[in-house]
Amino acid sequence: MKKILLFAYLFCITLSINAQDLVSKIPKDAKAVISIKGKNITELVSIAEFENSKVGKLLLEELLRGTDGKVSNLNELGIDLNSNFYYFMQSDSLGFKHNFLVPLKNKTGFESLMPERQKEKIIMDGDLSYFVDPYDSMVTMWNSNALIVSILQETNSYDAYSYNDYNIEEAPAVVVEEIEEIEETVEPEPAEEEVIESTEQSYNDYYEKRRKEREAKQMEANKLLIAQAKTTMMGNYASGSILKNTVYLKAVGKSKDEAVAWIGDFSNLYSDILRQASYGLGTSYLGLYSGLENFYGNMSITSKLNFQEEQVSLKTSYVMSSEMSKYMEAMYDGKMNSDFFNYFNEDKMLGYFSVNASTQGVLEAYPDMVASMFKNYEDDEVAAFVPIGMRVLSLLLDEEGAARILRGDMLFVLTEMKERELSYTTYEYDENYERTEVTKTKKETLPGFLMMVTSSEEDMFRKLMDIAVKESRGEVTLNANGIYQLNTNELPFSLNVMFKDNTILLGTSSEDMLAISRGKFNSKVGGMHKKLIKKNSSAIYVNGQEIAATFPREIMPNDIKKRIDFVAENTRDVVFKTSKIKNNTLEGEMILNTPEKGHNNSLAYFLNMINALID
Amino acid sequence: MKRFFNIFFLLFSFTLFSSCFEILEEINFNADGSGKMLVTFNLSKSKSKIASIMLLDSVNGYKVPSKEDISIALKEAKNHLKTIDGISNINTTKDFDNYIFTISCDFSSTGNLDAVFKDLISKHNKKSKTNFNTTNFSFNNSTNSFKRLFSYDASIKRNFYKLNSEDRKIFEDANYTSIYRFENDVKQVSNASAKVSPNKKAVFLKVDLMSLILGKKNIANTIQLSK
Repeated sequence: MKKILLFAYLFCITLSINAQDLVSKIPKDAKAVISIKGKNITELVSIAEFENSKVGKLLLEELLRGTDGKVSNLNELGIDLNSNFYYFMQSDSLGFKHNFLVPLKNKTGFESLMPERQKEKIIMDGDLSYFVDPYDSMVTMWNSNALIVSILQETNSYDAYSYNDYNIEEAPAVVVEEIEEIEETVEPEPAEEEVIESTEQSYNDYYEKRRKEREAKQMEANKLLIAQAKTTMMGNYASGSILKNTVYLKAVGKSKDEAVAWIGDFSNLYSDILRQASYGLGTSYLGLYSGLENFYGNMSITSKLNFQEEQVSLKTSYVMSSEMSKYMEAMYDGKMNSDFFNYFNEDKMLGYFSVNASTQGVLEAYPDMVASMFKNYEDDEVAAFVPIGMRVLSLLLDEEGAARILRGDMLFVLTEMKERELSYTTYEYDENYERTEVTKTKKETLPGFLMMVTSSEEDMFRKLMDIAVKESRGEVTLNANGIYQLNTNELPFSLNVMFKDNTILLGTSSEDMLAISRGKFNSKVGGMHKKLIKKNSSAIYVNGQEIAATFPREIMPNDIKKRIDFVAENTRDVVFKTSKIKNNTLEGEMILNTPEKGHNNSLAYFLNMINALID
Repeated sequence: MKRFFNIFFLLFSFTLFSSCFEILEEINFNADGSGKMLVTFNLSKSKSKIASIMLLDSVNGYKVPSKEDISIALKEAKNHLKTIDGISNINTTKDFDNYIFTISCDFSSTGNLDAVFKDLISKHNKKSKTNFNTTNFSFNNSTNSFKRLFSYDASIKRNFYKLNSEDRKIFEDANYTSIYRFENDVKQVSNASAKVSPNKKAVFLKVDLMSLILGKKNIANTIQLSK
């Protein structure tokens, strides 16, 4: 019995939550949904904390000014900031419909924002109030609990040109024909003025007709938009709300994210775009769509923004079709060269960028991918030529051989921002102002880096570099340690290049290159970096604190220096990574780590950061 | 000639932040009013930045001029000088290691020297509705006085404030220097910032470009020479 009571209680709570949450107003077939979890955000930073921040104060000042003093705090807006906010997008033959759903505590706050002139345009319909902006195809509708703003974005531009009687450069052919007919049938030959008058009249009649047609179409679209906004406010959909969309529910999950963006089915979206853009030529525009469907069918993207205690993360999942996945998997099926870690010291590093792709995979997949894309193309010549061209390309390319030159894995390490002494020419004058050219020196901060790529073609590398030594007129030299050095006025630093084992190394530090060449480089890479570089198809790591600390202060104006100091003190590292393809899914994640102390959580950290950085 | 100035302005504007460049105008006058002019554009102090930038196609929405563009601009400037009567011995130099560029020429009279910029300034005034003086150099034989004319036009400041704040910084460490050398002794100069050499044969004026742009300082000068 207790269990039944508990179940009934939980069911009632769920019902009441669903009733209050505006998600139930989003139709099941929405193409894209963005949700912002008001409660999650206000738990991290309270409304009062936000209002007391510099950004909050600026916002309130604007609100106060914009509402003639009627709204002095966020509470008076009537918006329920503890509830969830939504955006959803629908598409049909008219175009895209963008809808913004805002939870309200009461409608008086929102209504007080409106100028009197706007209030006169409000139409009442039961408990619903709304007004229409006819020229922008926008409906704003609200009751005591919710506000919706629906905007129609017409993607079919067929009727979109404007009516302008006096700047007509080229009249449509039909009008010209009409005018010619008029000119031909007028007997006897009229005076010149009469012809001009008659021509102008025809232009005016034509455009007046078109204007009326457009207005009628606009009115019809506005009616549909109003009807749709009403349906959304009611939330009574025959097929149910987005909460019945299992793809959406699976993608969004149950995590405590502050914001989630979801784009459901790209093939569906592309189909709508093609249909709208091809003026009714059919969804399978020249057959290109069916090719694209193979790639973009079942493709969706979900992004989740999460503010945690010591980090902010934006995680994006990109689910793709099996066809697309097959090619992408081959392209990113790279193997990271473990030798790279022998030339890398994490204690002397400001950041890095790694790519773990497969040259062989790219060269094998690309021709197939293009051929497949044009398989159903309705232009016979193109449909026949593309597969042949791709096959010839495939036969000509020695994928395995190309991969021996560059395998596809690469690691670029930003090692330092170092002050270097640079010479420059200026003038000195004697007492009689005769000038002498003198060379002086100044310090400049320049980056130091090391780039590594895997290659098995040492012989080819040496032959190419030997040509460079011969032909570069002294700009490229080879030293006794087998390191090539490039010194050119086009670069503010020397570049060292060498081949070691199965790696081409390109770097600014001749000391590091020498140590690597002799096998005496002091390498150090921890598990975290190894994992990040090896397990992902690409990764970017930025040691924000180190970079901000070494940022060249002398090139900054004084007012910026203080802010950079603050950033250096309060910044930690940033990671961007994209995973390898797994289960038709590519995952990308950006993680920004924030300092452990001084901030309650990462959202508060950002607010504090903005407070410190804005004037 | 216009292309020449446009390209050098662009190069200056690419030396963002710690931009350091100098423009040096040297004129040696003979007693008969003829002489030699040498204008030097020295971007050497920003050479590492310029070298890096010139590897790119564009920066801040501006197309980065190539070495070839600069060479063409110098050649055009030289061709422009060739069309002016009384101008001879025209030379240009380009040093892409240090980013120093010069133009020099001999002139038969101050009037010929003035004609170098006259046409260019007239065209600019007409196009941009500005009011720059079209006469920049004059020499009065009867009073034996040399005039460097310059009228500040509000459009300088107006255009300067149209630049975004980062682009404005390029002028912070830039300067303009003029050295006029004479055979006769200099008796007096009208510009308070100008210095006369102890041997009284040269006048030196160094102005930071920001002061010039904002109209706080002027390069106009009347130099009274002994007879």
